[in-house]
Amino acid sequence: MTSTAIISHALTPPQDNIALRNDENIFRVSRRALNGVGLERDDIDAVVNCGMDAYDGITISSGLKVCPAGGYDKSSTRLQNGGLYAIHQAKAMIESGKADLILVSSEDSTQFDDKAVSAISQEPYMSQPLGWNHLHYFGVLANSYLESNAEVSESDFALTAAKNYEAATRNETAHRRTEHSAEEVLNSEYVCAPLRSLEVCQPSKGATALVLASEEKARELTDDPVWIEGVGAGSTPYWYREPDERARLPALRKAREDAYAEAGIESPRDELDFAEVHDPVSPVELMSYPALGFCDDGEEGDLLRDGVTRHDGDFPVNASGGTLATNLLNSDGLYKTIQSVMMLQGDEDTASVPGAERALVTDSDQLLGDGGHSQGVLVLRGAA
Amino acid sequence: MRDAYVSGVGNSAPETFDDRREVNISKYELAFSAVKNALDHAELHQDALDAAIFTTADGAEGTNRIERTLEALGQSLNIPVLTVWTGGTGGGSAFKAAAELVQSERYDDVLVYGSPTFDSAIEAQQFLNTAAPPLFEKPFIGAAHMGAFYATAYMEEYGATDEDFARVAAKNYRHAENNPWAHRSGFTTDDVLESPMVVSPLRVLGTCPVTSGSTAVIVSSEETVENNDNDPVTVDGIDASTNTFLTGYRTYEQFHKLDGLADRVFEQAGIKDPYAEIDVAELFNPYIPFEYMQYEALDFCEPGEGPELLRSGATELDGEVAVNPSGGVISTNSGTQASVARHGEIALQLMGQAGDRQVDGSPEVGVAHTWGGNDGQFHTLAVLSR
Repeated sequence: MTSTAIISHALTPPQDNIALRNDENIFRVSRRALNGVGLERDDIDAVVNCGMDAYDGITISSGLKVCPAGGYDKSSTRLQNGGLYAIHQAKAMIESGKADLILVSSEDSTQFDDKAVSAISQEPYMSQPLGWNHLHYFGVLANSYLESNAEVSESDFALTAAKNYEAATRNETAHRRTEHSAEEVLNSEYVCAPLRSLEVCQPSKGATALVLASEEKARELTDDPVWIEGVGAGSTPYWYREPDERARLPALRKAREDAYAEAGIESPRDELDFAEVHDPVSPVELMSYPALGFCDDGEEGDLLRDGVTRHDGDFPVNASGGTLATNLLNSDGLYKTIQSVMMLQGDEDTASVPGAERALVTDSDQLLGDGGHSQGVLVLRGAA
Repeated sequence: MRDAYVSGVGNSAPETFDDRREVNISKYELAFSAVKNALDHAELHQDALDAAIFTTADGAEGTNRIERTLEALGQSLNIPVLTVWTGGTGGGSAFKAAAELVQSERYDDVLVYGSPTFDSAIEAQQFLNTAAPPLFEKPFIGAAHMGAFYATAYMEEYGATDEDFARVAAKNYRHAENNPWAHRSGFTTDDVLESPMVVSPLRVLGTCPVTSGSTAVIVSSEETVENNDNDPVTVDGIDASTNTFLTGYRTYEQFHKLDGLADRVFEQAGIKDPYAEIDVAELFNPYIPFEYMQYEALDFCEPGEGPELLRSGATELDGEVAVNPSGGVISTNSGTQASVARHGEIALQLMGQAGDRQVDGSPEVGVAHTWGGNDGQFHTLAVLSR
């Protein structure tokens, strides 16, 4: 069976507003991704889009986007769980022999209230009437995390945020590039205790596109492919039966198991060089360290405080600045994948992780609320 | 690439396939019953599932991304629940995704679940109309117009009549009498002709009803189908086609995008003479005039000869190609469930387990089609065989 590689990428820099219609926004980024390897629309076999109707304000929003992304008269589809699920499907299409070249793309340009979208995404009989949105669920999650784990404190949440804000200042393609110290984060107002405003992500607008190729096409079209060595996906139940279990991020653990098994990874800290982790609120990054096998349960605070996961540490996590700096709701998985590809290729427009060969990316739709969310994990290897 | 098979098919109870206002059963129970029935049919325990694929129109469900709350899809096992949504083609896109995940050896058993979709919408038109391009077309186009444009063009091109459309509707209603999961059945050509006009030339009885009910299908590798009692049904070919979003760029040459798609899918499946080789078809026609265009796009007959093919009886249960033995989409749910159900119905026909609606002569090859997106922007087509 063929391997699958990422052979080209393009990114519209994340920003507050994009004064383009959805179709124009995705057209430009898709065109640039094709140009990157000298391809025309006719050369690609299929288009996979990711995004959610509620974030775009129309039903079947992929209908608006797949043709400007090169899909006319071709096979096209769309996944609503995020970018890594789109890559997960495109990889299956290539590895089942259905396609050799696939354009995976996504865009964010519609303005919406992320709290309102989260509120209508809750179970309708008992949860929606309470008006809960993702921030309330993240507050509950962070509280159970603090209660079940004596090794972490609110100041660790602030330190994680400060670490990522500092990293973002070194990334030309991050959205929010203002440094905030841990003290400043701790002094920002509570949004939903124990979460403070600087520990919670804000929406960004932008666009992303990747060209995925079979091994044969990858070798033909580029000298610098990035290989997808493993993918994994997982979900979690909606109802809160055991809050403490939530903070272990079971969906992420399941996704990790599958991705590591496929990539042959047994000791992630030794075998991977850096990670780009979906961290919609800063405690989630800490929870993800043990969930991804970077340390044992309860040791994540040490990993943070020892500076291991700083951009200049032994094992950088979110050297791009992470989700607090850039939060493309439809495109975040593809954005983090592109950041990782750029770091593996030594692209100076993003953060530098010298000598990195192997990377991990995660993405989730936890911003709709923690209950029933999806997680995706990707293991990438550069050509070096 | 290895083969993908349909290992099990399950629906929610027949009485849930009724007017949405009459069905007081929660989305959780609907999902649980359809998934349970599909697992039982495949002789699998839920633990065996590697992934689930969910499809629906979020805007019609009353809850955005409602699959997150269902739990019957395997969330307690932490398996991936992929949400594939492309419009009325959602079930075809989801089934295609499941086949790819099995064929690429990523997963062995993948559940595909189609939600009832429209049963929670108080006024479905409000949400349906947002499928049209927001600036230029939405102000004056609704979902029913989308069906009427095709039908009007077909009448103009080939001289088809109101009566032709009513006759094919009546055939579907006749078939539906054998189907416990049909919402409505038994209407005659005259009944259809006498029903009120929705958007000319579409009449109420030539347009799909709003129904509840859900369907689950399990796509598996060879190992699962070797271990159950059902005849193995393979996925021989499956693909999707994409048209422009703005309809101003289109021409109404009936289902010409399906024509091109059928060429690709029939080539994958090694079908050279579709009319002779295909025994049974479930075609997605929420607006009944589509059935003629589908006959022609799938090469069951020449362009414009659809009404004649119907009158010859070739698409009846005992005909050369039985089309919509279930009664099709105008007899029952036209939501995303319906696009999953087209595949499930074909699998049951090929397994010889379609009950009273079983077509004559042990069918060996069947096709499942779906249509969706703004003004039929997408089609999917699958060839299944025994």
